[in-house]
Amino acid sequence: MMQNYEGTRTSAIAAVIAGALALVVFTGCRSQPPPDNSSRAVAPNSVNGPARVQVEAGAPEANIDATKIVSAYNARNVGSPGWRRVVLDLFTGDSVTRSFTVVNLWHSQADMVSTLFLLEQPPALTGTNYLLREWPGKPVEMRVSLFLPAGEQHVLEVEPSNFDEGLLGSDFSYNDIRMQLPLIGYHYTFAGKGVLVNEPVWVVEAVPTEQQSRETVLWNKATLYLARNFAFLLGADYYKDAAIVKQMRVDSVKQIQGVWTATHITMYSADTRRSELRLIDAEFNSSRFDVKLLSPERLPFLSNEVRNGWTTGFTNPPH
Amino acid sequence: MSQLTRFIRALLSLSVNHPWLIVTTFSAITVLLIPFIPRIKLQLNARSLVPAGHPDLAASDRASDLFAIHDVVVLAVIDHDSQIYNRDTLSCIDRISTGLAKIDGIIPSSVTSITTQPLISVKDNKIDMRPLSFDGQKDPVEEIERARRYIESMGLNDGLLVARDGSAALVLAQIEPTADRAAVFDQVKAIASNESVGSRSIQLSGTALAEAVLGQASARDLLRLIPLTIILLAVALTIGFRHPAPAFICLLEIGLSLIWTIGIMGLTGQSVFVTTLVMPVILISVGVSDDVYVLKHVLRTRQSSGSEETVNAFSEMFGPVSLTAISTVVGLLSLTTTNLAPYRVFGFFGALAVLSSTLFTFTLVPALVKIINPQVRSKRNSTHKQRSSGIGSIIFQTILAAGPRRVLVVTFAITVIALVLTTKLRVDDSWIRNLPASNEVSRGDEAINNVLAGTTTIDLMFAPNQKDQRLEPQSLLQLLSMEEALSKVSQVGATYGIHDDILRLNAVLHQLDYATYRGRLLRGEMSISREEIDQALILLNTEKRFASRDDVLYQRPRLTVFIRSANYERIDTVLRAICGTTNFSTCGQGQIVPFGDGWISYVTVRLLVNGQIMSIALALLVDLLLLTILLRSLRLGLTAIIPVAFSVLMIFALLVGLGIPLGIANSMFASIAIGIGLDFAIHLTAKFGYAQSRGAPVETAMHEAMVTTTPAITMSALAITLGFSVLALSQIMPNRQLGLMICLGLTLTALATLILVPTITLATNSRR
Repeated sequence: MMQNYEGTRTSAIAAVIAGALALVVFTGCRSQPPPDNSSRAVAPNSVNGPARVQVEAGAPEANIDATKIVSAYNARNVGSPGWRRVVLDLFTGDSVTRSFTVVNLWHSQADMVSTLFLLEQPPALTGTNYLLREWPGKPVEMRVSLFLPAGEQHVLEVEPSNFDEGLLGSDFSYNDIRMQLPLIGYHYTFAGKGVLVNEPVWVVEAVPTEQQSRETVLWNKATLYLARNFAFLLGADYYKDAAIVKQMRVDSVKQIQGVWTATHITMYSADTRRSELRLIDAEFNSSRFDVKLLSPERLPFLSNEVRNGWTTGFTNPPH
Repeated sequence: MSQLTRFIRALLSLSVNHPWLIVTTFSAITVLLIPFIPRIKLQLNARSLVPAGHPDLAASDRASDLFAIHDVVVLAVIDHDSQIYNRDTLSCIDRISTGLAKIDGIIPSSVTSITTQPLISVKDNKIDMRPLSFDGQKDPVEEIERARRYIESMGLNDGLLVARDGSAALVLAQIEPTADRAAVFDQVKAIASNESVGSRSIQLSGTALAEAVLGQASARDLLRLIPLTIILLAVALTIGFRHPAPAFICLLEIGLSLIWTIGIMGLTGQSVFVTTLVMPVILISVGVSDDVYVLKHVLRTRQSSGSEETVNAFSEMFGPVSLTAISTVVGLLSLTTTNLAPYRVFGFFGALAVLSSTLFTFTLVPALVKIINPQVRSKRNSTHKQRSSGIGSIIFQTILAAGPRRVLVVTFAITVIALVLTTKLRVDDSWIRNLPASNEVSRGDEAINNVLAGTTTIDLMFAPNQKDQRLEPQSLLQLLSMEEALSKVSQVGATYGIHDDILRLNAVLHQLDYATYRGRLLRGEMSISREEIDQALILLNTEKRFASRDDVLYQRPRLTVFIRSANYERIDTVLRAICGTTNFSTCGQGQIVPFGDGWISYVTVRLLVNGQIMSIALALLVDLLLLTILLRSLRLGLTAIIPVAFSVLMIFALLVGLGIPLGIANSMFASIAIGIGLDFAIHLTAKFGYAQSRGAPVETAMHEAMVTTTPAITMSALAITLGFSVLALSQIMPNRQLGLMICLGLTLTALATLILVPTITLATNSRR
């Protein structure tokens, strides 16, 4: 009887130790990116509020160049050309106040990245589209074109000073959905290493330093959390006059066709609102669309195509 | 001897034979109840006056919840020398908007001003929706010009956010329902004080600030008026009794009964309202009445300080005092039949205070009389008695000389005139006009109403029963038509709805000014599609500092009507205009649901009128019934009721003559006057009945009653009037009016009692 009890106790301790080791290994002690089609949850449930970053103790290492971390992020494989379909839910407290289905297409070239957002739902807004064109390192780094299918049907260009306003009334701004981190007009400082929900991150502070960059953002300091083990922006805290104005957290990421993509992102505002982006389906290195469509002149045509059901052809489930 | 009389005698014997036991017991209960007093909640918001779930406000409550309507803080920036289109003034508006958003208790996203609005423009196919900002590196002169261009071309200078002449701008914000209004007021005042420079003044208004000021003024009133009432009554009673001891006994008894009442209020989690914060002052004055009659009788009739004599003297007064207590309780309880929470609380707990005071009169007072044993100088007493009895006798002889029937005819003629006048009685109440006139919120409200669109709003929700109702082109055009019709109503300062912003944005996209685009839509020269509405809403919500994105706010058609210098009549005119401009058969209960502060004020006053008519009628009827039963004569019951009814009618007529409206606070006078004033007639008729029962003829019995009760009636009326006169020093106008109306009402009732009771008695008996 006593022997049996001792045996059971030993097995239990061994199981606990094994479990703990497995947990440690599984949640972030890897130095290599996970294999293809793997996924990881990097933040707790969004209703609990933004996950906190644990910054490692000690002074930041002086030899780490923050600009290099940002450049490495900008040089990541985005699977161009590609598309994904996302649902954008706007929350006030626990209630969804508005929901949109958006198809996002992108194409990355040597000196320019074009990102197109086509609204599929709600029906009254079908065909509304936005085009972001980024020229990293160039004096004018981004332009946003907007096409509204009802009314005058002009392609309008959004003033850069509006880039930090909420896209579709959400907490995500035009700046938040860009593919690249801007290099001109910002000063990046390495602020240390940390862990964001078990994922090792570089902590980088960004400050707009020039007139043009200051005009395009509503914040005057941002702390960015970039994954150390793979090139991905996992979180960001935006400050205005030392007060947090909004916080972004990638709740889960997934590797599809060798490309890391977020499957759930939450942007928290300073009040009780938040916006969540959920990935529905995606395809990377796709040949399903002509990249020449990603130009301001083609927006009215694209709008018409979307209203005729063009984007419903993108039906691939995520791998 | 009835069981009740035996019980009272037993109670009196216990009190007189064991006075320290009574005093100790009552003191112990008082000490136990004191800790509950701080648990009383102070209700400052206007909506708390009518209970939750009241049918007249149920639909508007639902609408308010749906649109998250709260009390507002309003600041106006007025430049007395120039227009607001300069960097100083626009920066000031921006600082105020930012400052308000940082105040604890203010909902940051609710702050609205010209600097929080997107200034939408399309130039060379570039859309710009930035609000005005001097933060960035834009040329300030260009920014100012951009703001002016947008405000003027988009009709934002309609008096709502910017004055028509450009001399003033408004900043408004909503506060959390649980916000500490006094703390918010202090911080808002600090912002206003910092920004009032040179020719620029910052004016304050809004329901939230008005409530804070009213609460502070009421609290200050309490601190000043209670001690003053006690001092005045102490002096008056000391003079009246020719001795300080009876005055001390009276005030101690009233003080303890008040603590008991307030303690029970705290124990049961009751709320007090700004309109009834003066309740203690009123109850102190009311409580004096019975003690005056009882102590006067006891000290006059008691030959020695022996227990038996004291018990006898007190028990002789139980009949009339219980009768007067019942009439006062009926008067106060009649207030509970209304739908207004302050009335209900005041009526119920006022009645409780009177009942406990009556209990104390026959327990604590005899115990204190036994312990203190006041020795009132009999010589002066008799001189006083002689002089008073002389007055009673003179009045009686004068009535006889003039002829009772002639006096009745004159009284009837006065009554008819008063009745005609009373039909013109105005009812009105306003949170802001109740404030001390010198207060900054009172002054600010007047200034804002002069230059901007007004500080009182009525919101309208359409088709409340349709779920997921969205703003459709047709409903948008209906809203425009209604706005057009309301713009012709002189009381309407401006109207606003999210559809106006939709039109502004579409006007910009169509490269038209707002008035032209709107006119073309109304004339059918242009149309707007459902898609254009949705697109506009999305773009408006892109500027997140501008609009709340809650679905209800941009899906449901809603119109906010700003009423300038609002009062009941002006709101009534606007509501009639609203109903007249729709094709809906009913207004308020059908397809349009009014809500907002103007509607609450309107409904509350309407309930007050109906409630007052009901409660006065009920009080008079129940009192008549009780008096008829207790005096065993319908004629005596009617004779006792008529003087107080006549006095109340006279006060209503006087209000019409002076142009004073009946409001929530001052309308309580009728029930208080009936409750207390009836005491005079009860004592007189009871004495008359007693004399008649001993076989005296009518004329002799009435003469005797007049001679013996006139001193007590005079003294009681004077003492209570003096107590209530303290309310004339209140900082709050309705409380001042209430005090003066009660003083006048009681004086009139005492006079009417001393004239009409003998007149009616003599006239009706001689007719037979």
